[in-house]
Amino acid sequence: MAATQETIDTLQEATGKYKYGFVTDIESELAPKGLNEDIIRLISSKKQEPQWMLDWRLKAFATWQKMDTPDWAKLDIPPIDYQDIHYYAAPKAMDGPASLDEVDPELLKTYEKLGIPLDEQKVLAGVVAVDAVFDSVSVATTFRAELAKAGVIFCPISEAVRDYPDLVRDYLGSVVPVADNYFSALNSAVFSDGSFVYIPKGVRCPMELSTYFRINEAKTGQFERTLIIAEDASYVSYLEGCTAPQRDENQLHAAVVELVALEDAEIKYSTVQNWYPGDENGKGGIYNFVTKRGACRGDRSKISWTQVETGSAITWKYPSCILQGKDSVGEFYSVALTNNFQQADTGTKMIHIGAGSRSTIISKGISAGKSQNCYRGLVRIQPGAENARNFTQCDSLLVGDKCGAHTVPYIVSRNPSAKIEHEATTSRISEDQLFYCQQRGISTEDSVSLIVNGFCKEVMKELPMEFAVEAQKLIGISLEGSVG
Amino acid sequence: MPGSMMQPDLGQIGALQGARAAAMARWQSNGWPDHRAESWRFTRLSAIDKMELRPAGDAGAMSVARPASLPANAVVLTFHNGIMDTAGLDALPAGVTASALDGNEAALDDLAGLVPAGHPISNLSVAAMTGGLCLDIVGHIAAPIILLFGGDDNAVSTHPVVLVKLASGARAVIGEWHQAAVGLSAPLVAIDVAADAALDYAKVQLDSHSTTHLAATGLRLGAGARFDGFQLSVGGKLARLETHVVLTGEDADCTLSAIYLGRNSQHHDITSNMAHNQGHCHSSQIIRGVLDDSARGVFQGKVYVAPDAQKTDGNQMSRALLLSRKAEANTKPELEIYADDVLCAHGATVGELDETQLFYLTSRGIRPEAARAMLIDAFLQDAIDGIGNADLAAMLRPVVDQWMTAGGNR
Amino acid sequence: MAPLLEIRDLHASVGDKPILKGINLTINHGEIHAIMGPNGSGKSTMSYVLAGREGYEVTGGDIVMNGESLLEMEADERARAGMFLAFQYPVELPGVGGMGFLRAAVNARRLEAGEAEIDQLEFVKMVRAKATGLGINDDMLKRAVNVGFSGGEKKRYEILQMALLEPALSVLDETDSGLDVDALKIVSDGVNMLRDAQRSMLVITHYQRLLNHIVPDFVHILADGKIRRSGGKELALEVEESGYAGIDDAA
Repeated sequence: MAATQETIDTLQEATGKYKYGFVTDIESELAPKGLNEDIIRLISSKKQEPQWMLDWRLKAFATWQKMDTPDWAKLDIPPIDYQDIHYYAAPKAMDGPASLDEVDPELLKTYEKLGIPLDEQKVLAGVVAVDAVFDSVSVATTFRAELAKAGVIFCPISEAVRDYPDLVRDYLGSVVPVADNYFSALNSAVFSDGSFVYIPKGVRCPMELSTYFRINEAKTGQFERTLIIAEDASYVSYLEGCTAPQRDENQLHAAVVELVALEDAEIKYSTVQNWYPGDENGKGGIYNFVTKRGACRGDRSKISWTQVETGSAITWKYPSCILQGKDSVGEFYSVALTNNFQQADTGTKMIHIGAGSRSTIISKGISAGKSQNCYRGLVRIQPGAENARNFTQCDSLLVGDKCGAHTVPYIVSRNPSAKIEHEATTSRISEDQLFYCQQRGISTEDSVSLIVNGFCKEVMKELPMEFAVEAQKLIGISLEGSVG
Repeated sequence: MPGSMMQPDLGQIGALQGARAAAMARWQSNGWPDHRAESWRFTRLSAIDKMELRPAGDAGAMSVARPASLPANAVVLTFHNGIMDTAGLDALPAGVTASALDGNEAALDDLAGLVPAGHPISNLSVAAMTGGLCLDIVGHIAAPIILLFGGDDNAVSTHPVVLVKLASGARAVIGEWHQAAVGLSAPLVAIDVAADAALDYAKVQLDSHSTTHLAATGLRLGAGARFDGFQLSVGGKLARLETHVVLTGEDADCTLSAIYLGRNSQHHDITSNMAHNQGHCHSSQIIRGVLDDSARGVFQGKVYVAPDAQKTDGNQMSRALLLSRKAEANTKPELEIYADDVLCAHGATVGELDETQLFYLTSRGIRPEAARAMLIDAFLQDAIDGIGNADLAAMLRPVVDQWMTAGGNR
Repeated sequence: MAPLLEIRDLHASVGDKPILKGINLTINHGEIHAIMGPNGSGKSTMSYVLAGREGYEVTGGDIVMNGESLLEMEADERARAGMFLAFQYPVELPGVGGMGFLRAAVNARRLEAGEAEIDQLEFVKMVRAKATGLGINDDMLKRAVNVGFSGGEKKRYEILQMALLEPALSVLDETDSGLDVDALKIVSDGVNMLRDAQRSMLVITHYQRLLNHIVPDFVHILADGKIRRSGGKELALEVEESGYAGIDDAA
């Protein structure tokens, strides 16, 4: 056995204990289990949606019924009974409070426990605006007035459907078509809430925006939908966090995120995904099937995805960039850590269409326990993508000899002037490295943290400060104040 | 799939028995791979079921010109239209025993255990076998043995099947040279290199530009065995060279490098699967592709490391050079790793000739076409440099040079 | 005798950006000219424009060597006509063997001049003789061009090529950059050995120190794409003391 038991234990220590596994005791309104047109009508009416939105959902539902679950990922997905899930769950009397005072104190307490302050007074002014999504509804969105002054719209998507129908109709499903895949079709039919962001022309969003997703109710799925539109020469940094209670059953999370960056616009999207991963025997945990895609439509636009994936029993997720604009830029920075029986198949797609488009992919996979961790990525250069550039670096770290680390890149180049470079390595924490650190007086735990930290550094430095701290804790790393 | 896509027409083959009957049954139920099959996503066989083909029934006039660059001391076994000329067997050196595969159930069983499972040719070419040869090798064989495949009948498919077994401690040099002008060239080759045996191997694929070349090769290395292999794919309309290697004993060492050179609307595919089933083994692959006109190139290479195959060292580097606006390169290197104490890496690049390098050369007075040729040559050189056996390297080199000259070094 | 090189009101752009804005310079046989200037003044652009690099577009004026305009000539044609550029950053050519490369360059020139290709043995002897003086050993000659060479080794290798190709005009682009004092001396000695009444050089540098070793006949100060001042070697010392500040206004 190559890794010491201590090493493995340390990593389990860092990741194996789920700190967000509590359940909030709050009275909920639940739709009956199962999925059919009536349920979709119910969701739509709960959200007081216009007819076009309902029609869109019903069409998506019809599409979904004709589709099959994707089977190409390196994942062992147990059959899911889509009729055994509640598709709508909301804290009672929560159809969007007008102000924070109206939010159930139990909910505020929950978010406080999660480290997400919703009380604007308690936050340093102008740091982060939060949209808190609890099961199927947005329970609070902070700093909205402040943002409105800058012309920025930040609200639950259910509200945007009612208040900004033209924007939503123009862009919803324009980046991730309904029929893109099984889970995007499902999401389009039943999405409950999520965030809507609109940054007007020339505006640099005055604060970080963030959404905090929480699944609370048992036997429910969460199907959030996020749409971010950055007009010409605008900028926004958006953060996303996720947790769920510890339960023996598997729960489904099938989100769709669409980003649109117009000329000279930049969107930075960061995720710390910490859904409940299941216990050390592989029981329970969230199935995380997410479609995230950004369209760099304008010249010189830029979309940057950063993700730290530590949770979920199964992760199926490929945040991608369609680089249409001339000289547009796509980035993907990822740390995926799996332990126990977790499975992750995650990566990105960079589709180069515009001349001079550039992309960078840095992926760090850490496998421990009996987990399986797979990077899957596509770099496609279309004929018109003159002088396109891609650089990809995929590194895997194995901790223990019962886990698996896999790398599956796909490269398609149809333009000779494009230059693509891909590198991948697989390694482990060597006894030599550990000994070297220990010999300098560093404990085994800290040594492992130090080495894993070093391994992930290129990605972690891409995270906004607020999230970096949480991410470090998650991976069991002390960055010793060097982040920033 | 079955039935409708069951090409070539196997109706003329008489009743089969044993392993061949089983292969026929598998072929009939599986047929050609579906367009959704992951390992065939870059190479579609949609045109193949439209081909009118029948397994060659007779060799025709036996004459296959001996290529000039074959090693002078080579023993040549000739296949014409997939059928072996048994006259060549007399020249085999002591230590090499030849026998027929057809009817030899034990040998066919060995073969089935070595060839790529699930590959259509693994079934089709056993069922439709036009010539089956088993070579048992003991001791050190100095003279290279070259299998020379010719053929001139565009309407036939050829299904030569070769099983090579190197006994413990044996050493040999084997080459495959394909220059057939047939419809479908579907060689199935299985090589078993027992403990501490060593094989130098090279394949030259120079089939005609109307030939579809679908090769399946299976390779097993025992403890301490060494395989030094190289594939050069130049001919064919569509060519896929698929090799599956299984390293079954510690300290096995496998080199499996390749060059593909594509022009016009050619499609070249090099696919490999390197399975480290035991620890302490080493594998290395250097792949270089040059694509001109509207040629397409595919490289798929998987390195698999089994649980507990500790101290594995597996490396792979693939680079493709696009010389034309219409050329296309598809690359899919893959690592699947279940042991932690391993050193595995792959790298891949796709691009065109470096402008800065071209300028440097021309600024020294070297003409642009000569400068390009120098850079293409340099691009291919480190793959060729890796060939351990000088005779085999000398056999390949003129093929590369000729390809370069024929293209006018654009 | 007609001048070796005449640069007449030369304008050049990279992309859409004008870099050279009207350069006039005449170099006679046997002269050494130095071009000095601050970063971004257009020094390297000038070397690339002279050598004929793609992407460096001449938008006006002319470059005439031995009475013939170079503008319609490709980089390799200019090289065979006697133009040599010692690169600031010599590029690595993995897999391209050094000896084969040198011989290809020498032969290209010989064939152009109607001479026979050089005998291989004779060539090896010639390269070795010239290499030894530059501290280039056999191991370096055997390696691929510039691959694994240190900064100093790359510069010496440039000078070796210059010695082998015997150009009429050598453009030395920041040959001193990245060299320590010892390496600088080896390189300068190599260059000085090639000085004679027929060959000319254009030495491009940011610092005066190189000109202590390769003493120029004329010094020109380039700033914002134009030659702002010209003088003898003492001008270099002046710049060394007072810097480039104020040069722009002098024109």
